[in-house]
Amino acid sequence: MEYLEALEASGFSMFIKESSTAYVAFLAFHTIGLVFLVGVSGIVAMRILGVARSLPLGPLLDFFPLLYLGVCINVVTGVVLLCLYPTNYIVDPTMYIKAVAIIVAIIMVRKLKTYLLNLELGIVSESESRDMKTWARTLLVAWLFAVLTGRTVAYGLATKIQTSIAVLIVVSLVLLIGYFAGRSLGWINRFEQDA
Amino acid sequence: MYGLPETFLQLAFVEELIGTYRWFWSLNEVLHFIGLILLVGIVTVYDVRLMGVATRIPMAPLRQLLPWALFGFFLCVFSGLVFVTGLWANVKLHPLEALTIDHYLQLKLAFIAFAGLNLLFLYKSGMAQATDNLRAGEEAPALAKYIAATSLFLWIGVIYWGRLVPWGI
Repeated sequence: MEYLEALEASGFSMFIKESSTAYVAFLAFHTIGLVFLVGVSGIVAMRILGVARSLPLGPLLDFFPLLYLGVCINVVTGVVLLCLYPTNYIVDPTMYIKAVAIIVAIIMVRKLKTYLLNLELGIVSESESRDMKTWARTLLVAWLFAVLTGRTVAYGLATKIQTSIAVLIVVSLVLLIGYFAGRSLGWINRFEQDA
Repeated sequence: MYGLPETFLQLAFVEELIGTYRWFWSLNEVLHFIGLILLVGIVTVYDVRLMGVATRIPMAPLRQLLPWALFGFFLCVFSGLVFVTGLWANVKLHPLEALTIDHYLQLKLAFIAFAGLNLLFLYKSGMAQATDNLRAGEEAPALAKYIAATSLFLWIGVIYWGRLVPWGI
């Protein structure tokens, strides 16, 4: 704890906290990195789950440099933001949930990348991809938890729990309405036939 | 003081929701982020393809992702309207006052407007039609690349200035 207190009071941490632009710039770049990372990996997961079925899966690997850029931005900005108030974060269970969600998401991204590489090499075919759907769903859920915990880190425990429940209800409702709307409009049937 | 816009920009029922349920504001923050990821994530992939990255991917299937980007845009607009119309309940500031004093908010809105104009230019210049059916391996015309690069710059700017909005009030 003494080490964390020293880190929190260090010249670097104080400079960022007291600067009118540095702190918010790190926050802003953290969001930009998040969009690249979650955006690209989310598109791969959505494609595996049946969105834009005519999109070739293997060549999606060409977008991965954008994903790596997002990882680099978020590791740097994330570590800096963590150094500003480490004594607060170390006792906050939300940060641990966020860390677990990110680790799970990164593992899923690696699995999906290996799958895309194997597709490119002709080692596997899309029809053999039952596990991939589970990994894609896990990835999206993990990112949802990472975003949720990241956004609610500044709030009290009660608000965090209430927000989490509200988000899960809203997302479930949107998915349910989307599913039934998709069926009634014929989109889901059409996709199933395409598959 | 402000007249008609004051009536529409400040909604009592939204303020009441925010005042009564503390989770309502943070719920909208999460929805705003999900919308951003969908919108800017898909627009970024679309733009970098036009700029010459991942040319192995034809444009037509990429366009199938655009309804999801539109859904993300609507999520952002909905949650953004909650922030605006219920602002008083959170920071005791009228939305019109926030618009006049918050330079980050002004920049964010300007960047969104320019992104809209840029999209309009993509269609009016004929570049949308020229790139709609690009096959695998085909490059977009130079003008389309410039439009895509501008779009990417503007949307990253929207995120950047948008994240700074609370510090401008």
